[in-house]
Amino acid sequence: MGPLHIASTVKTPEIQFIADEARLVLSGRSIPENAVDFYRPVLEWAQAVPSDFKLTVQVQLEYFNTSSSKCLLDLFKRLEASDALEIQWFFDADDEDMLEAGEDYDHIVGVPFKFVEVDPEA
Amino acid sequence: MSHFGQPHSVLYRKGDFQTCSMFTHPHPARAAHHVGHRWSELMAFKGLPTGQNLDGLLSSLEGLVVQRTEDRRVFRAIIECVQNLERHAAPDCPVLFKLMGRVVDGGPRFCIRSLNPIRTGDFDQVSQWISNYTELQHWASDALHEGEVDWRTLYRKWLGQPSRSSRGGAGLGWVSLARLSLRPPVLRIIHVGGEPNLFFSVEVACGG
Repeated sequence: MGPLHIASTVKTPEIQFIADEARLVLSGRSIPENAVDFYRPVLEWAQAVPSDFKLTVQVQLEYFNTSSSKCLLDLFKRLEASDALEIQWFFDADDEDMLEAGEDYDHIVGVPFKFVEVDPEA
Repeated sequence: MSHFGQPHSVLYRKGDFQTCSMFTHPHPARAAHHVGHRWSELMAFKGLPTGQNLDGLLSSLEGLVVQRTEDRRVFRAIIECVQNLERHAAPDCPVLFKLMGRVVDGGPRFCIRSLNPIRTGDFDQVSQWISNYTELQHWASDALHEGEVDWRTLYRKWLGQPSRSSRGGAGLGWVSLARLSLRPPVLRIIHVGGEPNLFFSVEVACGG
């Protein structure tokens, strides 16, 4: 399992694996027209995560389009085999759509989700 | 101050692009007077559906509509609508895009409309979409609670399916838009100058 760092752009998120904290962080916005190409290296990285690796995935997205939504599901499903995976889904207070989006994944993926409400003013 | 009572410099800016025009109400003060219960045109765009033009449109629209966290809902709908244009509109013909707004019970409502020539060779596919979409509404109406279309259940079902469109879409766009909107989006083929165009309209509320 190697390093992973993709810098953000106006339409794509920053994705970073922080190895010493065992955290994979996705932050920003994910609205590329074709998300498959963008997420390919992330999915390849996820393929190499050992099943006994204790990993925390933090999703801190402001927007994601439907093209990205399937890629996120692919990512969660690839990591689902890990015995010690937790997904932390961040959402801004008053952004009920983002909370519902996290609940949708929680419903589909067999991994514990933790919902973290963030005060956007803080 | 209402959501639309923001400085005119934000609500009514003009923009020029290489191959399109983007404009808003020519008389901001008059438009501001009418912002209320009646629809006011906030932005209109006519141009080729190139990545550059549509990125510029998205950027302008975000600044226009997202003034509170709750307003992200309408920008989410706008992203899907604009990216559908980039994916599916005929690339060498101008598309029309319009955003209108009004205030209902203290909360902003937005109407997003687009009209685009259908790509050569895509007519049958688009007709099939509309047929599927109509069927979906009937199917969903039968499957529901208390007469309301359960778009969320449909969205979850489709999200879990592995298929993708040939142009990178997730095949979730219409369901996603229906979920964000006040009522099912309107999707129909209109012939303009003898050419088939896809008309799309959706109305989104962003809280009070």
